[in-house]
Amino acid sequence: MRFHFLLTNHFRYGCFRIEDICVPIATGLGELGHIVTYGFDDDVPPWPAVNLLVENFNNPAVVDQMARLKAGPQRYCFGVVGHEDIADAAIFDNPSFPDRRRNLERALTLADFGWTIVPCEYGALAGGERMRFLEFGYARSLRHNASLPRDIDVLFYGELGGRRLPLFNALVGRGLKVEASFGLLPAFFVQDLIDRAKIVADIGRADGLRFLTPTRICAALHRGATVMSEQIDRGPLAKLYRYAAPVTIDDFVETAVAVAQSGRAPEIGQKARELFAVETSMAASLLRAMTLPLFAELAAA
Amino acid sequence: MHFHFQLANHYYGGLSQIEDIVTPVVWGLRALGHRVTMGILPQLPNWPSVVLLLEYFAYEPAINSFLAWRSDTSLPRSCVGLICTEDLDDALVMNNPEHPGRRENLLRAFPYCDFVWPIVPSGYDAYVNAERLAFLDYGYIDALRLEGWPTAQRDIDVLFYGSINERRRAVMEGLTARGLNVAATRGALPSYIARNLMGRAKLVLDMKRADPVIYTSPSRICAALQQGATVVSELFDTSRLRFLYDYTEACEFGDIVERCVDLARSPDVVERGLAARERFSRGT
Repeated sequence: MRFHFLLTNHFRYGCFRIEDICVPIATGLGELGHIVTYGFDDDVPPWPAVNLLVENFNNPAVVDQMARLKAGPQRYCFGVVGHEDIADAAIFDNPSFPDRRRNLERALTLADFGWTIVPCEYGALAGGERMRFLEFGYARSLRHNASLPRDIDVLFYGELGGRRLPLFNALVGRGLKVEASFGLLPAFFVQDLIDRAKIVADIGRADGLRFLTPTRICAALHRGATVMSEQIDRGPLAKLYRYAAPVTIDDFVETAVAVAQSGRAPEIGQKARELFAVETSMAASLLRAMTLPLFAELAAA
Repeated sequence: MHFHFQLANHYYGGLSQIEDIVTPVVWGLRALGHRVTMGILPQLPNWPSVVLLLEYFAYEPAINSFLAWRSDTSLPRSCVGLICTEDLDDALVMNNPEHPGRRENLLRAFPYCDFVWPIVPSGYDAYVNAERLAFLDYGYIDALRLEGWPTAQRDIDVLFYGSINERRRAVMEGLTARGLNVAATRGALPSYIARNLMGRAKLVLDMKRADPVIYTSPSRICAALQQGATVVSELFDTSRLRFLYDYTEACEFGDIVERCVDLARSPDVVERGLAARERFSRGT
């Protein structure tokens, strides 16, 4: 099958921010023998290609396009990839993105299926019954054996913001070398930072979050970094704590200092990656997320 | 040695557009056994580490903080190299009102650099002493080698590498009118998308952005060659960079459409690029 990421709604700088979402999915689909392409605007292949739309429809243009194409004579297939907690008011009731929730709900009614990488409650929404949880896992093609010396003690993956910045400063105050990806650095830069990091810090951007960030954890694990994740998640994503050391925000600084200074971080990261590789599979997760009758029809087309 | 790319002057939108320039230098130095790091935070390593800057001092705070740092005699010794990617006399770049002061600030920076590496053979020797100036030829790097798609799956006939402006759009429309499937990287796509597009393309088209431009783009040509693309380059550069045409299907502006049509229909279109990459890997 052909899967086509239609990323008009993320052009141009948004495309940099969703790489950790798109690339593991594309890689897993590739390992299953599917073709994956990317496009924008009117580059929307008809059935039996599958158009994948990554959520953030505050601008309604791509949802309007879905509606137009769905109403036309030619058949199209659309899938929505959800990556945020729909109960997170900071995302979906954010005055900077006033139409994000409404347009997601419209998109779900138009889409043929959806995959969500955080297991939140889509079932109550119209079309939500077609959403499937897509568990991020190991993909052999994403494995990267870093040859760089791990000379960064702690890398904060994402924007620093008011919650992470005090932790950043506290670690600097303890004499550690600390870096941040700032949320907007391109992949060639971020990947280099991960390869140099003893510890990748996966700390929530705000209090009260319910879910881990599987994209961030998986990106770091594939590159053999030791991941320390804030202990917040009790749902299906809590499985990731088998590969990412759980830590409370109060204990984070002391734990990070101890691990960074122990000299054991590279070994911990490599062991975690091996366990991740044995116990998870991006390709198998995608197969589980393709259990709708639609995919049998697509495969037969 | 330790080389540290300090890229804060490109944060953040500009960082998305310099991967083709930065990564060959990073991996070329690593291939020589050097340690290379990148950062945007203000802490910079002292001598004997080398701080590498990529030219772009359009804004006063960037140049002023650089000059203040290099002028502060109380600080430990540092070493700075400046990579220059543009033609000093290209008014579209150096006198562009969207980048005020770019040329003037670059000239202010030169005396404070320990060395300068231009990647286009513009008139840098008029401003930098020969003992501090070395031309940096881009060439093949094994670490950046990528594979494209099988021939049968290449559904894009021609991929424009770069932004689309009026000059390039005329060619794009000419190609489309001839029935070719044409796509563009649009100048600022992340590499996971740009590489996907390049992998799907039979031809990668390398055109200059404006008539007055006199130097071809080594970073663009090398990025395409590293992926084994068959590159159609606009033939206009008479400088030392013209050696890159040896690895492309170079032709003049007026012949680009016909050349692309002929090549896209040629059964060996993909093999030509793969053969060019082998020559590139042996010759550079």
